[in-house]
Amino acid sequence: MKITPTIFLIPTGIGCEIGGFAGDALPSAKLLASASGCLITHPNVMNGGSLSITDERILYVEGYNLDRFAKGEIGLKRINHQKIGIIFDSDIEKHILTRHLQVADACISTLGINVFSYVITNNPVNVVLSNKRSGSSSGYIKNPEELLNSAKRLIKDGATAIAIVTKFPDNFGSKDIDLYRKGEGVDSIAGVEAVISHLISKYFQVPCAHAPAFAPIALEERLDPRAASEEIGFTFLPSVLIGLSKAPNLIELPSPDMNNMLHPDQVESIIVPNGALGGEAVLASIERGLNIISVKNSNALNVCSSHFNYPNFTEVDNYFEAAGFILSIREGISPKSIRRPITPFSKSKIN
Amino acid sequence: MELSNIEFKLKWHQNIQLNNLRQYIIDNISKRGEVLRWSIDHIKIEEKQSDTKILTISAVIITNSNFH
Repeated sequence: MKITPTIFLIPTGIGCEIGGFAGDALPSAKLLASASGCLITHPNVMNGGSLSITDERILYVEGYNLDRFAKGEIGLKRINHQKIGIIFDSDIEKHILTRHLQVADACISTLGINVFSYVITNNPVNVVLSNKRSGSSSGYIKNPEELLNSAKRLIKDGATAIAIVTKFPDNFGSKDIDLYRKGEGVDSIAGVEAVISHLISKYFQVPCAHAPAFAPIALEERLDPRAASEEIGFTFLPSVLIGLSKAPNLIELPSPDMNNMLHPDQVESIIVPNGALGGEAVLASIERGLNIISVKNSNALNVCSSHFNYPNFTEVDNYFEAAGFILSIREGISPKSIRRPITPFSKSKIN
Repeated sequence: MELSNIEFKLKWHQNIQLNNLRQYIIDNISKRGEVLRWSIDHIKIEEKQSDTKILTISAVIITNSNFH
């Protein structure tokens, strides 16, 4: 059966009911990968702290490069494995750093992942968290060049993918964290995590992803199940290393070598939460005439299909329905044949 | 190099086609710095008759960059 390559987005730090926590959109991603045969998605969907998976049908691409793919600027080339280099923020305490180094050991010895080398930044990265007026999370880092210089060293040494681990303040937004752990708030660190990984993606054309480093926090008895995969280990690094281990190479277009490459022209659809249609990948997909499948998945934003006059929008109630829509495209069955009511063909005359 | 968060309102006039909206937004962010991450966070319809919409744009920009 042919595949229908599909982009699956859940923007980071906007408080989505599905995908706003710890890799809790991963089951939906597996379903959509099964329906499409080829799903291109990003770390916010796949990273569940200690838990994640690899799937031949899922391509793991950091958000900045996923936008570039949606714009038609790069292709994605499947590879057997990446050589992962890790950047550690020098502000990470020694015992927490040791835990992270043991994660690398575990991924090498138990999962067979090629974790290649690491560097420690010369100075602290200094993460600053903030919330936007919309309620979504954001932030920045005070010393971006620390990360860029470290990435440069790793790539020069032979790393082909970059994991980044930065120290987050121990005392930030404890109320926000409490709400998040109880399933009621926005992930207050997610926005700045995206900023950090976007920065590396912008300057180096390699796969990358970020994991935060924290001091251990107290046990939460009323933990929301969607946040649980961040509570079962000492670090959030395992999912990043699993995701990067088979992340596709990023190929600048046009390229003379098209073998084994997924070209952006092959993509037919993009699946996005309704309300979150104001990102670059969606607008670029509109420019390219793709199907935009807008899924009910409550979040902090209000950019909906009704704001755009675009004929290829489809609104669905959940990811089951999105999977059915994708499967109908894959099988060559017109979705309008399945929906009711059916408009009489006599009304299809072009004037 | 410095990173900063910005948020601003931008009028989306009817004469700007949907296919040109992304570039229109990027051009407006670029006046403030090099674009790292952005999104439309909110859309408000200002005048129904003229179909003018007010976009709330949030972005992270890079300034004073000399990294190579």
